[in-house]
Amino acid sequence: METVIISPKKSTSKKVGKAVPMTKAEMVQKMLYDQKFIREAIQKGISFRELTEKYGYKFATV
Amino acid sequence: MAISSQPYKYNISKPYNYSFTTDNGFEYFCYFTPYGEYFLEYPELAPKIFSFDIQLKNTILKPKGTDKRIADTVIDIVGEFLISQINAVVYICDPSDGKGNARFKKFKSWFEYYTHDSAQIVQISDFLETESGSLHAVLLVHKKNKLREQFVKAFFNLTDGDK
Repeated sequence: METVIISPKKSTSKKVGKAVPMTKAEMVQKMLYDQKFIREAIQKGISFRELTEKYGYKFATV
Repeated sequence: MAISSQPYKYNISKPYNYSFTTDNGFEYFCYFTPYGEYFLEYPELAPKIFSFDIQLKNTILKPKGTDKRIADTVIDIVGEFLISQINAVVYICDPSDGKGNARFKKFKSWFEYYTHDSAQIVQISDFLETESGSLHAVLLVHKKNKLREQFVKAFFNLTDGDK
């Protein structure tokens, strides 16, 4: 069964222009969104490497 | 009072995560993600701040009861990450399933052992305000980290909310 994930992080990132600082509310929203996205992806069997290379998430190297 | 620590043997699945399996056969992943984007006002600190998360691999079956060795293992993993006295860790207690408060209490208790190795780690907790209410956040930093005070200041700045 194909795994479908909506709104991968990579496609939402801005590619040009100066980064606009987030408000605190936006920060919290993004923290929770990313946390949930990663959790759900791992549960679906998506690897950390795929999350990095395909969806643009970063992890500390261990 | 000395408390013996009995962490599970964990695997370092290079390059990105740790994993371990409990006596009951539950497999957990632990990982750190960079949080620098939330601390842009602190360029010296930003590359050194990470979030931590622990996740059960298979959520169909739920573990029952308390397994203290999970706490010991997490303390070991986070402790190892902080022992360099360079990084700091922020833990956000996900409230989306209504268990944010329980997560906070459990995580906080893990780092409150009196004579445990975790005594080397300073723990600061606060709330982050959201549209749907407040959620718990915890900062962990090694006691001997030279930037400790700056990390604490930056953390409180984050949790202060929009001015």
